[in-house]
Amino acid sequence: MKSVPVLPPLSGDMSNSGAGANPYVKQPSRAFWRSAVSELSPIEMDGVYDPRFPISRDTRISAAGSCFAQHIARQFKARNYRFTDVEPAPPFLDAEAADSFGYGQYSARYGNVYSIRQLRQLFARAEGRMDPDDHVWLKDGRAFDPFRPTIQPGGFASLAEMEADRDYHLDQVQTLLAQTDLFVFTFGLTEAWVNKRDGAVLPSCPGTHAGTFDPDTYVFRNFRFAEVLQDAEAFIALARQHNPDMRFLFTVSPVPLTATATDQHVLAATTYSKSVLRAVCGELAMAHDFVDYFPSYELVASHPMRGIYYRPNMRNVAAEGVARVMDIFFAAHGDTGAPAPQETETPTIPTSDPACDEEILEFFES
Amino acid sequence: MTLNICGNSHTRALRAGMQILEESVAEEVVVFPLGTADNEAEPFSTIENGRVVLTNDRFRTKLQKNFGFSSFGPADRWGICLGTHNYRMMRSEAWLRAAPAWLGLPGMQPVSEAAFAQMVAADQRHIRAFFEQLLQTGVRPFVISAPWPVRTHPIMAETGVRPEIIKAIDAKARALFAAWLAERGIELILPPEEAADEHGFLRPRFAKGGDDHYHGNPRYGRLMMKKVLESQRVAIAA
Repeated sequence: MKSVPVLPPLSGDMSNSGAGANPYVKQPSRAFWRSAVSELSPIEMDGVYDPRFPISRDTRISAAGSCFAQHIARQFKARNYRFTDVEPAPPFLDAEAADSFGYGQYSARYGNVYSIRQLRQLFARAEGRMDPDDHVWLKDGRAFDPFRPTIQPGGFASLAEMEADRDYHLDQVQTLLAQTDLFVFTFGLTEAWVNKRDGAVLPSCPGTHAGTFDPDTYVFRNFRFAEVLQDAEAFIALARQHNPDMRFLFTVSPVPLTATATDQHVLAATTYSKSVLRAVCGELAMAHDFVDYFPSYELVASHPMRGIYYRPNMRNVAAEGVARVMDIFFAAHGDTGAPAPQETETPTIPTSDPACDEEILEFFES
Repeated sequence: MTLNICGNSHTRALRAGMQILEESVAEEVVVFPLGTADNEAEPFSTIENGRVVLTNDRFRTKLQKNFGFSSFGPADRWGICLGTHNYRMMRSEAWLRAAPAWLGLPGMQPVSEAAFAQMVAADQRHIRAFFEQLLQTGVRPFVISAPWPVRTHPIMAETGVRPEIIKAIDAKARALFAAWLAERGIELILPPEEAADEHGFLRPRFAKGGDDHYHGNPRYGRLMMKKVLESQRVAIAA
């Protein structure tokens, strides 16, 4: 099929000039590839994000998502936005230790939430609507929470300690949505491991960080567009039950899959995952005026960026890339100041490498 | 050989106790505080020319003035009262909402053993560094515990933190420090059991009292110094 050539306006307003009159002549330069992309270096690209609604420092913001979402959460806190953290670090844990125990990364200590199905189930567990079959994973006398296997380095000292921690955690999660005006979620993956009996989605494959992989118990799932969309709509509906005015900011992580469990090449599998997630975000933004999409994925992973924001492994996002993406986000919201020293209760540490559970998969490459 | 005992403000009670015992002890025992525990929150020591020197001005001055030393050397006998003053961790209002996980208190944020160990290590990092430096330079110190926590401390009496939480924090922090010392072959002398009430707090008759909610009194100091001297095989006349 032949593409229709459309040129950007060269000068003046051509909207009423006979043969030049068509809808594109009223489009701004950001709508044209040549002026918005081709003629600019990646770092000059402007207007990539146009916020749909304002975010102020009075907005109560909560966040969850894949590991890239940790950057977003940290930036909101560093810039003194009203970031909700219902499970701050206990006293006297320094910033590094708090981070290693999963405190301060998100709005509660739930660790990375890679899929919207996992997010839905997190709130279902918090509200007592789901009691998963996977209760505890034991290893060398230590107890691991199957739904947060890396939250406690080395595992909990006992089953009782893990249960106490999880009960408190879920109690706090249950309060989160009522304290949220804007929920930020970064979609990470479509691939997941699921318990066959109850459909519980695990954040990592059993047998990697902890647990034992049993093919009779666990099954691989690669969520499809309709499933992800349905889950997202269900989560939005749930969240708006707690706050009918809640808004949502969705992003897609630019971090590729560490490994795929499909029979695809990991590049193709990554493209599938990210494409589905990106399409869902687009669909949600078109369907709801209270949903915004921030193109962090495009700002890092799209080909005009030439991979400059990735580290040499072309997977981890470099600090410069994170800074650039976040600067664009906050500048679009009228906040051009540098991140201020954080003054909230939970300490944060500046880092370009957030804790990514799935990176352990690299160790299983034969 | 002279037995030198120094440390934070808890050493004052030891000094008072030693003054009571002095005439019963044939060996020379010198006991002086170096300064308050606030000084432990920053680095206070380093190694210079193979000997440990104190970089904290107050500590260094007191060491020179009261002991006549500018550094710690391997030929000297040192008892150090540092590392079990756990009030920096205990006196936080955060314990109104958080509690050690092993207490199993419902509704409180559980602090796991591992997270707690990190807190203790962070709180004691400069003290531990000091002991590591002593060991590196050939000094073989022993450690003298601070008294049991005082039940009248405002964190419980006024702020309302539950006493069992304070006691649990103190007990676990002491246990962690004891284990750390044991790994390095450093002897730790615990406070006398008879100075503790049934809940593990310092009995009022051994507490300094008044507005002081931290320290033992001379009676406590005497009891503790007897224990110290016995552990160091310093003879005490009947």
